[in-house]
Amino acid sequence: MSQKNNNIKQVAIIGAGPAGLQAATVLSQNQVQVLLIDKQAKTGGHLEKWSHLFPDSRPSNEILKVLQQGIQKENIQFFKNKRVSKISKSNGQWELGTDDGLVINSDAVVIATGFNTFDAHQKEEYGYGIYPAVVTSENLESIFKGETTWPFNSSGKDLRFGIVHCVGSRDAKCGNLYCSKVCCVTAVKQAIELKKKFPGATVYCFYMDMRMFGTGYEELYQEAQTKYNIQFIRGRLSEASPSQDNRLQVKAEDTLLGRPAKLTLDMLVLMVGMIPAVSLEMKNDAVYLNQPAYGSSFITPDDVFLKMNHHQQAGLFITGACKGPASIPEVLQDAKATSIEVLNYFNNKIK
Amino acid sequence: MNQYHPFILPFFIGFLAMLVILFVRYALWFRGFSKENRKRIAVGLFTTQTLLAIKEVGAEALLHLKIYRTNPVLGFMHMSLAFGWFLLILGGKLESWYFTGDFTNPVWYAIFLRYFEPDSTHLMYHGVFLFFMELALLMVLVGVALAFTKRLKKSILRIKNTTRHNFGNKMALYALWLIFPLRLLAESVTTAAHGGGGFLTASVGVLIPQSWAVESELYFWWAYSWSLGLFFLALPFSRYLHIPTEMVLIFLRRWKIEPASGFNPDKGLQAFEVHSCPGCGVCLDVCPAINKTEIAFQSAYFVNQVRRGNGYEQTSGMCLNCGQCDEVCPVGINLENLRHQTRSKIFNQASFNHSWMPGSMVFWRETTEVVLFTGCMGRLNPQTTLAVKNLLNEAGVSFIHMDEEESICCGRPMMLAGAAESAKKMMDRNRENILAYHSKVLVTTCPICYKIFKDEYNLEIPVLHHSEYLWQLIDEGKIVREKSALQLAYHDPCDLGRGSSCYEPPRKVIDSVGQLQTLSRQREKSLCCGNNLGSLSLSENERQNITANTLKVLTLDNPDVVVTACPMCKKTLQRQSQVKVTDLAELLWETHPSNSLKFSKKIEKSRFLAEVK
Repeated sequence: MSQKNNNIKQVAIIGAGPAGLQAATVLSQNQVQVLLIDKQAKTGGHLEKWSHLFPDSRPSNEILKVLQQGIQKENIQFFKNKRVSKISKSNGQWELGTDDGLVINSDAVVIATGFNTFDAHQKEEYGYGIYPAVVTSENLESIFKGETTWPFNSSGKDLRFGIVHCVGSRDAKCGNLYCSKVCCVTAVKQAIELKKKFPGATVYCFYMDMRMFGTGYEELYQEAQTKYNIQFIRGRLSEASPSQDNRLQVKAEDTLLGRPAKLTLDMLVLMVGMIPAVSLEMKNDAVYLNQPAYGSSFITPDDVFLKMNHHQQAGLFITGACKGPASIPEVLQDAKATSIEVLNYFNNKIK
Repeated sequence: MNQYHPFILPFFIGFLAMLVILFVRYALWFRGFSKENRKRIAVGLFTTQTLLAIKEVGAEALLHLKIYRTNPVLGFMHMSLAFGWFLLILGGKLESWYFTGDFTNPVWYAIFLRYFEPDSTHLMYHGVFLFFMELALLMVLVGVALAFTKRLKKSILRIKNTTRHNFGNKMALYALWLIFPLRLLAESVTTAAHGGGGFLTASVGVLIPQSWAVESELYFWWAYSWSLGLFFLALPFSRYLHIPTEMVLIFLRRWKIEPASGFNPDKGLQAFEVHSCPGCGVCLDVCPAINKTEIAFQSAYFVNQVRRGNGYEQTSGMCLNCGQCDEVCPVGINLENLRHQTRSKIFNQASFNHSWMPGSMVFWRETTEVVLFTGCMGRLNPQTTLAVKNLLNEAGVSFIHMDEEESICCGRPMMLAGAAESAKKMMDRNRENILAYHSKVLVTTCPICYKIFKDEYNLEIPVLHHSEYLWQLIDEGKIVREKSALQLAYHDPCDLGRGSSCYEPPRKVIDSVGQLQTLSRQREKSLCCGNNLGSLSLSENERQNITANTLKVLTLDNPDVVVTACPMCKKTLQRQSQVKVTDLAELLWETHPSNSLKFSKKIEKSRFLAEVK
């Protein structure tokens, strides 16, 4: 980006999901030239794959539309299908290198790489990728959107669905000890949605604890029990296997009753947790964006109280779910906060 | 001829004390033998086994050939010390006999002979004796020097880990280090004072002024006697108890003494085994968990804790039972068995509820030639089970998959945890279950089940691991594959390899579809995946350290796929690996012409991910 005007500052934002889009919107409104980069061809990240959002069943494309309109500006340039692999700084200028050799220069960098969903194949005992009736929470959203079909005979009677919480979260064996935070309320939301689609169906949720942290979440959980009669069973699922009648048989333990449970289901939904999309490595004054390995952690801010949006290196900012599991509203607020910090940095208010 | 001086007293008292203590301790241990075992001793005593035992004592207790084979320098150290000292005792006895013409001299006379008879020039062939004795002394001194160096710098002896000792052991160790240098000094000073001496003592003696030597000669003999006395006194209370005990153990093993069940480190065979451990540390270097855990639980430490009577409660459950130490132990202690018995003591109090087991069994079922048992770990690896079933169908084999009907645990995890009684309940029920099919062969995909089916079930029908059966089907031409350029690293599961000596069939299966790599640790020396069903106290973190190291060894030559033959190894390695990890049945099924395109895409993807990293 050689035609650079000295009065206008440039910021590179890595990731065009909700966080990246929100930061791009705020920064461009404040006369910053934005270079938005994403590994995919479209903006929107995971939001693009979701049908409706908790807790109020808002269609996700309503939110997405607003965010995408925010970047329809002259001072925003979108680089699609570019995977940034290295960031380095020299003479106050940042240089971003991509896998395919492109080099992008800017005055500040915002990392908004977000998360990946946990690869459910790793929990082979749940049969994802082996039995078609086992889907992830992400797959279910695409069914809700009408992009894929139900993995069972949807005109059948007495349908039974199971939802497994904490798949790939709070699981030392997967290397992830943390809670992915949003899956509990997603499970409640999806259970209600299933019940609305199939009023005669029975829906079982297998949970460890219900973590209803946000406004309106606990109310939604109450409603799921009282109004929709969703069955919450405390206990982890041990395995899924095909049943005699070609449905699914799952085994679990009801730890409140202290006895084993064996159920036949038409569909099993795995609440896949969040894992980092990149893992940062500092080497020779450069920052490398690596593919996360087993047990890789999310990006740690410079100070979890006071510099939540800063990386240790001045001019490098981090925002959104790349720092750890977060909901859409949280991510949007965080992106706005990050934008203010970027502007302060440009105005030499912080070092 | 004078054959006594008060300086011999420290040695003699220490030596007598050792004999009395040893006699009492051994007598107590012998009393712990069961009637059957005592009978075995009585019968075995007059068989050729006794002669073979004597030969083995020579080879192992004196020459230490097994340690020598594992680590030549370490073996040489033990050999110099043990065999050299033996030669000194033997030579001393012969020499004193020759001197006096009387075989029955006092014990100390032979040991301190050079003091009593400094000059032997009047005797024929005295030079031969002198040369022989001093050569033996030199040999021991080299051993001591090596032992000393080992403490200072272990890498010189090419060992990575050496055992740490408590106070009592250290005292005995220091006394032992002093004995032979003091003997050299005492003999050299006497040579300087009175003449005579061989190539060693005469050379040292030349450096000592005669007048000083005459005056101070006795101090050195006193010191030598004290070091001997202290060592003998400390011996029954230190790890050096292993020297006499190991010899007794060799006889007991030759006489086919059987270990009693239960934890009895002060009775019978277990007592002899526990006290035979020299703490040589051979088990440390081979242990996959060495330096990967907060608390060291390796066999050398564990046995020492059992001997001391505390600490083993914590460490016995940490071991993952890979059997590597059992394989290399130069003394041949049944370490795995000792661990299980220790666990049995710890888990004795726990009560297990088996009311879930089906009450009555069906004794006749539809029958086929092959019954497939995939077990609990099979349930966690449906992909493997599916692949095996597909392969059996491909080969046109008719089979029944037991786990689809009803199957219970093989009992091995309970066994490993030390709950032998609970294990037996399961085994009995499971045995009935298996035999009800009246099949001709039992095939299992799990080496953990395989080992117990073969060793403990007495099934009357052959038990095959799926690698053996699949290789047979390939060999018979019922499964046909084209050998590809795929680079494949094979992880030997502990229970299949060391546990059941099954090394070839899995390799042949893998070799029929791709290129099998040679690894730095494989077959008998393969590492542990980092998991075990019977170990309850090793933390997840420590297990992951072991797994990470094993994966490093497996992926050193950048294989396309890491292949194993155990559902637990697969699951454990898979979650931490950047390279695809799969069971050999899955590999064989996925290289089926109808799947191979999909398979190569999967590998490309995992390659890509590994390279991006």
